[in-house]
Amino acid sequence: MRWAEITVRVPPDASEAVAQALMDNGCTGVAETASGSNATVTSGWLPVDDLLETRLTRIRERFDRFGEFGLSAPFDMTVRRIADPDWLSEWRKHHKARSFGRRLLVCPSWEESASGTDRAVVLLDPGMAFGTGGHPKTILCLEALDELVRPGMLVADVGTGSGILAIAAVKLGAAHVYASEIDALPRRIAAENAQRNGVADRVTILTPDELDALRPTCDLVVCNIIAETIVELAPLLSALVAPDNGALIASGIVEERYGLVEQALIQNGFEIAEVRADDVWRAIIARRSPVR
Amino acid sequence: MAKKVTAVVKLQIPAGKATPAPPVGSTLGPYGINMMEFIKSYNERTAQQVGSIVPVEITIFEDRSFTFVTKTPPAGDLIKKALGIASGSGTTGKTTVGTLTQEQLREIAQTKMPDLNANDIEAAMRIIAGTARSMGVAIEQ
Repeated sequence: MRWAEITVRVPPDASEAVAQALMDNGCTGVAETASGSNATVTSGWLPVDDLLETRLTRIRERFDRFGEFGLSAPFDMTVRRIADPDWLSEWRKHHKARSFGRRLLVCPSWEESASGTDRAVVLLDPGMAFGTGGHPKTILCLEALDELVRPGMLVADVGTGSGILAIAAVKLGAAHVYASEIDALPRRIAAENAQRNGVADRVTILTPDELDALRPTCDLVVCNIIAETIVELAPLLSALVAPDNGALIASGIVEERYGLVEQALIQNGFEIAEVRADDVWRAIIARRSPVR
Repeated sequence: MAKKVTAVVKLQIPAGKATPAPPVGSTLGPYGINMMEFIKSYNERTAQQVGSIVPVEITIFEDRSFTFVTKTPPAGDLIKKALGIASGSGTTGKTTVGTLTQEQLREIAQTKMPDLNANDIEAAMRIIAGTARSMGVAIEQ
């Protein structure tokens, strides 16, 4: 199908009326973007068919009368014809498989590189902003997991989001991962992602309260949230990390908040083993201090 | 979350009925976000409001991930609901599709106040009244 794209630059008081004019004349919806502080750009789409010219005329007639209704007139209106590409698959062009460290490959489900690689493959389709492996704070965690996960480890992923780190840990050999998440929507998405990766039986998705009640002793804990939350969770993280050589990866720390996190971890029985940086982001690898 | 924002886009679309056709496809497609996930999530979140237009503000980040929040229905939708009509007049000025009372006008202006560029309720009422008239709706004096 071909479409006519109608674009109208609108003063603020007329934006509601312009949107309504487009929808009363056949547009199934409209899009709005800001255009400086004194205008929005409103766009609507009509199918190119026998009704198009009549609809466009009615829209123009209505705009011409805005003054009578006590509204500012739209600044200008343009119409251009567009083809209807396959928008559903168009976006896939932008997303490619990415390697992390020596062993990991994070790969969209439609990419063929998932087969024929000796890397541990995490299948993850980009989507809502819950961690798709593209952000520096998550990259730091994936690289650290790549180095630290050994076969048979028990792992906790505090603030799992899409489940990317929990799934990666299992793919790298962890026996089981306890993954907690405060929001219901990412919990559901994490469960779907674990299922898609064939690791649902090795990832237990929990609410923060459930994790707090369970407090499994883990060889490795990863917490990829933000500095303030890591500080708040430091006592729990300390309880989760095995006292004999267990490790913590804490990420999502902007450089100016680093000191706060370091202090909280030390106060809760950790020793800072290593600090990694990517742009303004810091990730801490910490170990429980030996009991004296 | 301190990801860089690429764009903030507002769509007015029918609750529970988003599809990859315009305006969703034509607006979000060029940003390379997972549109099916947006459509699924939007339709799930607005399933209880089918029959209304539920605006949505989508924030798109540099890694092509996104978040969205739903907003109050557009003025036109509130006007149609108040009058029990399906659509505004296709031929404004020639046909009147209903009459809005001052009380209804004030109520809609109050609902829309947070989204309107209006300093006070009177200014908001003027915008709503103008929108109503442009749809072929008369205002009770």
